Amino acid sequence: MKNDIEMLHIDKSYNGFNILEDFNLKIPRNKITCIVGPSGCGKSTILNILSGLTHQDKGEITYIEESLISYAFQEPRLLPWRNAKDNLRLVLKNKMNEALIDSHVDYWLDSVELSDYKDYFPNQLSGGMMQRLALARAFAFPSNLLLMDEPFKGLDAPLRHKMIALTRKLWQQENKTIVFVTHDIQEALLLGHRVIALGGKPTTTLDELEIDIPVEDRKIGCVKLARQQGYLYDLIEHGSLGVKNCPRIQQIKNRFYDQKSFETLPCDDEKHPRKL
Amino acid sequence: MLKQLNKKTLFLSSITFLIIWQIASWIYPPVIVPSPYLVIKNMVMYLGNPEFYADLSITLMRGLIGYVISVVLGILIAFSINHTSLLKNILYPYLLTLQIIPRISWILIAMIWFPLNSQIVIFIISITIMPTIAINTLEGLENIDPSLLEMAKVYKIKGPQIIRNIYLPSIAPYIFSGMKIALGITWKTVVMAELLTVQTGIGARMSYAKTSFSTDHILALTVYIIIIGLFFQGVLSKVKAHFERWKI
Ligand SMILES: Nc1ncnc2c1ncn2[C@@H]1O[C@H](COP(=O)(O)OP(=O)(O)O)[C@@H](O)[C@H]1O
Ligand SMILES: [Mg+2]
Repeated sequence: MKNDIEMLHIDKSYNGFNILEDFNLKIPRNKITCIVGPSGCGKSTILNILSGLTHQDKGEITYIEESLISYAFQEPRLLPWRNAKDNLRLVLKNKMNEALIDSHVDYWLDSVELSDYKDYFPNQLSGGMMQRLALARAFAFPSNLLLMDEPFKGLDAPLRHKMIALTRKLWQQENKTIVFVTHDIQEALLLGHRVIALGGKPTTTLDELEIDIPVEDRKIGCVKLARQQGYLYDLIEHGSLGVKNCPRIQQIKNRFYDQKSFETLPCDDEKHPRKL
Repeated sequence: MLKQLNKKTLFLSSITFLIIWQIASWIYPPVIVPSPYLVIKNMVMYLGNPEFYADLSITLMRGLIGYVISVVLGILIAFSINHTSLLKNILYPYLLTLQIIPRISWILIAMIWFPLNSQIVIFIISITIMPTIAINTLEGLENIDPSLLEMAKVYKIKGPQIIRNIYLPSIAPYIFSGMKIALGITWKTVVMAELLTVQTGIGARMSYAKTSFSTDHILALTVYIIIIGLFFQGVLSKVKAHFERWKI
């Protein structure tokens, strides 16, 4: 599992409408790659292609067949006629030692704060609880590639931060390759080793940022993250025309990259006060 | 079954029905409206008649064999044509057409095709209800949530597990509702086919009763058919409840 997964020259259209055209994406192994972009730009399509549920019209993906994938879909996709516990058990059957499944299920239900709801059926859970159950299913599955499609959408702020922390913990413990799709830039900056901003029609990569602050040290509001957040925000806001056709994008990029001094700012604002 | 039948209302309406029936039997001669008492008397009399038991069991046997054959066949046909849209496009209109063909046409055709024995009755039941089962099963198969099948594919859930955890629970309500409709049709059809084609069974007994204008016998036999119908609907409800517990 050393080779990076790469999407190379991917084309995908729906009903004659090009969503992706010559799209390239590198997904480094054992890292968290976050993809941000406006709704409808093809983020879910990218995950569906990676998971093999949708086929690209053209192009190839390297080393994807070496991956055992778990996928937290944009919707929970739970079996309505199985309770919380059995929804998890079902995906673990034949994938791990039968004797360990129950304790594994309990552990993950507890992690997403659903241990009191083990025997509940999906229609007895709230939307956020179903989402967490689906998340537990993706986390519990012994995958090495984890795809997550806006998994924290609609969760309240404290719960969302708990789930971000849980994702970090999972990554630290198991070192999975994670592709995390969101439209929330802050979420992406709190989690990703790399953040990729998408935009334009057909969708292209507007920019990629390497976030060199260790994930566990990231805080909302630290200067460096705030600056990157502002930059990504501008990019996506003005990115609907794509990079090539829009001089504004180039200006935004230049302004961000010219002020190199900020790049060296670590995340600890107390030791390194803001100099603006 | 409807959610909750009020027992008291049911009791009162039955009593009212019997009273109206009784009054009607005073007004009209027994050939037109026999009294409830006469009908019940006949029913009790049948219980002491070994030939009646023979007819009853042959009717039950024909009905159940025809029913089981068409349920199994209907489900198998639905599953096998669901695979390819070509087959589905070709055969689905035929299933719909089969449902429309009058039972009496089948009875007449079957009388030409088959010797006049149980075969003919079983054939008529099967050809009448199999399309209902197949159409309902197909509808169930079409309503399986594809996003759940995608989930199963990503998580590499094994085939038998997919059938047990996704297919069966999704289509079961459709199959059960088809089975319920079909079961009602079965008893009506078996009696009608017997009446017109063979010399044995409750239907044939009704035919004799008709030639002697014994309306009281016809009604007594009809009540037995109603009892049989209700009994098997009850059995089916039990099977359904059992299945629902099992799938949970
Ligand atoms: N199965 C499909 N059939 C037709 N169009 C689709 C299908 N899936 C996605 N699309 C279209 O592709 C575009 C990208 O969709 P999606 O990948 O879901 O975007 P995102 O996840 O970024 O919001 C949208 O314009 C959507 O309408
Ligand atoms: Mg999406």
